[in-house]
Amino acid sequence: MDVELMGSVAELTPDVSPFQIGTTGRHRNIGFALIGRLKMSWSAGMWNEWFLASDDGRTGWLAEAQGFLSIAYETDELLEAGLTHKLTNLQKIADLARRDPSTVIETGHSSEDPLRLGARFKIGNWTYLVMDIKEAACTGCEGELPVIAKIGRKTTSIDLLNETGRFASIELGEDFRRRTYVGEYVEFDSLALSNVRGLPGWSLPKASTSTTGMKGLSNGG
Amino acid sequence: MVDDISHPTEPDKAAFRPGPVQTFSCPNCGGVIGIRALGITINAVCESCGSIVDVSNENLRIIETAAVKAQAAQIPIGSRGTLFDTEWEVIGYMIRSDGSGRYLWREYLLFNPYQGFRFLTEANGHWNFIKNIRVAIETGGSSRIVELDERQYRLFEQGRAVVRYVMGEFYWRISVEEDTAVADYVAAPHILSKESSDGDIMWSQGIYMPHREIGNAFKLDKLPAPKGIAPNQPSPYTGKLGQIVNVFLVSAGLLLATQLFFNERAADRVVFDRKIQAPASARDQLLISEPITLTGGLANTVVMAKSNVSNNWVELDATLSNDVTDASDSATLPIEYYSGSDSDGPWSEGGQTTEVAFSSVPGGEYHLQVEVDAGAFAEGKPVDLQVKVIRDAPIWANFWLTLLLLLPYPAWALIRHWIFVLKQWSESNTGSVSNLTRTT
Repeated sequence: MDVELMGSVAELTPDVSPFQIGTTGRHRNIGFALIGRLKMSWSAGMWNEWFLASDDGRTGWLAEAQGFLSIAYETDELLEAGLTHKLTNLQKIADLARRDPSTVIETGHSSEDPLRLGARFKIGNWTYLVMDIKEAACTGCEGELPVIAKIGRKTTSIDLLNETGRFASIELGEDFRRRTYVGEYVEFDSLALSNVRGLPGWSLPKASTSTTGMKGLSNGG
Repeated sequence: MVDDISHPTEPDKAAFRPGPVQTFSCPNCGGVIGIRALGITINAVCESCGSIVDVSNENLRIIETAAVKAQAAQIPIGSRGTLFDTEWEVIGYMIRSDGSGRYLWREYLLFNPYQGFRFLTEANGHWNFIKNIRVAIETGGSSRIVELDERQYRLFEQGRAVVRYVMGEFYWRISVEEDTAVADYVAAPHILSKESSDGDIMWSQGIYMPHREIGNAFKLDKLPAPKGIAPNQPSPYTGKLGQIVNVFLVSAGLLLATQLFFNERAADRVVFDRKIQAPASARDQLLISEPITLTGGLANTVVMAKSNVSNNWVELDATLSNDVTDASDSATLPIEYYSGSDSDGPWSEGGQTTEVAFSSVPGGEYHLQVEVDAGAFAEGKPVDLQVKVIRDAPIWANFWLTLLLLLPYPAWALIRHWIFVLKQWSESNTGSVSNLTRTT
């Protein structure tokens, strides 16, 4: 993976994220640091994808959406053939819609049986349920990122969940590259975080430390 | 459009400490819309005109204009309270109802920028603290049981939840009249709820909260006391019941140990044993035994009589009297035994043995005097009798009596617990009481 230093090419809209570039923590006893951020937007809001570098050399994303946190690392685990087929189909439709914005992506009205919520597929040795399919666009970024974070860069994002709590995310990029990440949902307090962002009017969680103090609401830049 | 100022709203009115609020102008009335979960909130309600506004981007768009007048929430928006060691700010408020619209409840959206979102729900004064969870739980088939984190939840009700009123801000698209299918599974004090709409499934996990804890957390003294029984309200006897049963078992154990200890120590010695045949002429005569020596200090002394009567009776009036002091103990020992056979088969009642225990009999020299009467005497027939005197016999009567005295309280608590649970589940629209008792 080629990590490029992107700098702040895009303006970030203000938010009350408790994270910032330089926040460190531990996930399953392995240290990590947040080194970049993509701000994503979809039809029902925004979320943050924090690019993380793990002490064991892996890279992944800490996703922060609607108060939920997940950590997932890129994997080369094999996708079940049926899933690959449906993803290819989905990517074609998405690509069509991107070139002609008047096309409405309705995964439910394709000629072929589309990828559906609740469908079960195997990734590696585990069976997952499709929980969420959404079309998202990058609206801003900062720090180091593994992708060229062009504003407006579109991605189809599929979230899957396993009954034992494993989480998987598949990103279908505009570049026709498919990336698969596996991990889990995590609790803020379980990450032993340091250097979290101070937020005015709020006290830091007991287990966390902040070195930057009150930075105010407007962020990044 | 975004005012880059963070200031507390209405600081003079604040009995609470509001967090920073980002403000927007309402595209409908120009009033101020404050956003607390900036960058996460996508819909907010204008306090002035009640319009629902999409604040997810700078093109503030009106989603719905208000149709209802503002309604006061018990916990005002902007209030802060600490629950489970985290400070939460109330940022959204919703009134929802069931499909019929008759049963209403209220939901508060709580926010902490580090911990995310939680909910407080209130119905009939009963409160729940709820967290949305990301889990893949299968509820297929006819199973009414759902398992999560090694806890079994039982389906309590299924129905619809319709949004009736909204206030504040939300991280999802809100709409009055929005209709969701809900199913509640309970394992008091825990509750697991499933909300589904358009193929989207959201699970949430909650815990019953005593209303005083909510009052304390948000500094509200006048939260009304709960009415009725909530689906996941813990029975007030659940905690106590275990203790009561334990106390009972320990007491019964101690009692048994004491009994066995004294049984072991009891001499249990036969000091007199005589078989006689009493002729019919023995009626109204006093039969006097040879001297009986009772050893030791005070101890119980049992007089036992046996006669092989069949469909007949014998009655003994026995007196044990001390040769020196003339102190005596008397008792009647009836023996009756009847048996036969009828349409229900063979039957019998009574017995051929009877005994009486005199307690605290001092040691010394005694005589036993017996007067005999028997059914057989009327026919001029004799009866065979065996009379025994046992010194210091183990006695169980006190044990059973004490055990009986220990029983009513645990029994009462258990019955109250069952009544509570039965009442609770009588409100369920899915549960059946008969298969409930197996697991509670």
